[in-house]
Amino acid sequence: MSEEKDDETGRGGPFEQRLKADLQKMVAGTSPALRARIAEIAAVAASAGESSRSRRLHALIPLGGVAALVVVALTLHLVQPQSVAPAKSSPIPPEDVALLLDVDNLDLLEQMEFYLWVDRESGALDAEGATAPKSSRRS
Amino acid sequence: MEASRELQSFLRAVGPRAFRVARLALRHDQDALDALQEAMIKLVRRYGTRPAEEWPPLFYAILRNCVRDQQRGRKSQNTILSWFARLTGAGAKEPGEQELPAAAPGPLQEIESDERLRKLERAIAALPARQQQAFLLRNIEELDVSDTAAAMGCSEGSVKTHYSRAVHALREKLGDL
Repeated sequence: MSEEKDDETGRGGPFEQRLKADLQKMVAGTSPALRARIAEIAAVAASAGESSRSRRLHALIPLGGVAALVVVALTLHLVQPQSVAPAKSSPIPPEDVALLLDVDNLDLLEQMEFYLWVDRESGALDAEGATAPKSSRRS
Repeated sequence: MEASRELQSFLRAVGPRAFRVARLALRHDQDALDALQEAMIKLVRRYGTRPAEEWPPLFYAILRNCVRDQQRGRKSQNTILSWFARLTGAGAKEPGEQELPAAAPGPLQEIESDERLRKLERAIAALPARQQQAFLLRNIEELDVSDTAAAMGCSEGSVKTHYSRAVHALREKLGDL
């Protein structure tokens, strides 16, 4: 119990006060040469912290560059197919779309079935025409 | 930049006291300086961005580990040296007989001519590590109980116990000075 009393008072008794004073004397008695070494060590430590921080920053620059390149590459990869694909996969040529959207040619839309039939028929005639010469030569 | 200057001035201020703490534990100037440098660099790199009021307990916690590493390194070095000495037949000391290197004579000793201070230094060096830490942190660095507990990695109750045991041991060794 008495062990704790010394510390609980905070100030300590006369014995502790003398010990403390002697310790302060000990610290004050550190030679100038040692003090200079200690100051040098403190400066080296502080600059080591600075250099490690800047080294970390320098290390981040190439990392940031690589990350930016990856982002650009990904963006190009994701955006390009969307802008190109409609042009490639569209079954209607652009001039036909313009023709269909022309307000003066509304009868074209109205008679779409007819034109589709003509288109089919002419295709069929072309196919027959391609085979006809052989049969005519036989006869 | 401002934080860096603040940190450097903290290190310069704490240096001589921290050196004394390490020196009393290691009883060797160069070992104490090595431990001090390592602790300072670790503080700057790991905790340099923390608020300044947190630095003292953090720094002494790091220094405590650095001192312990130095002691371990020295112990294993002594073991290897004594094994080698036995192998070559030179010096017949057992590992247990190997003493820690005595205080290296240097500029410090030239200034510390006061016999009482040397007696005190020897008495503190002979304290168990935890008692020594509690005593030095409270009296040299003047940390309060809670900061001392943070630096030592123990409870405030333990700090009080270690501290009062240290004072009693010193009183027994030194008398009333």
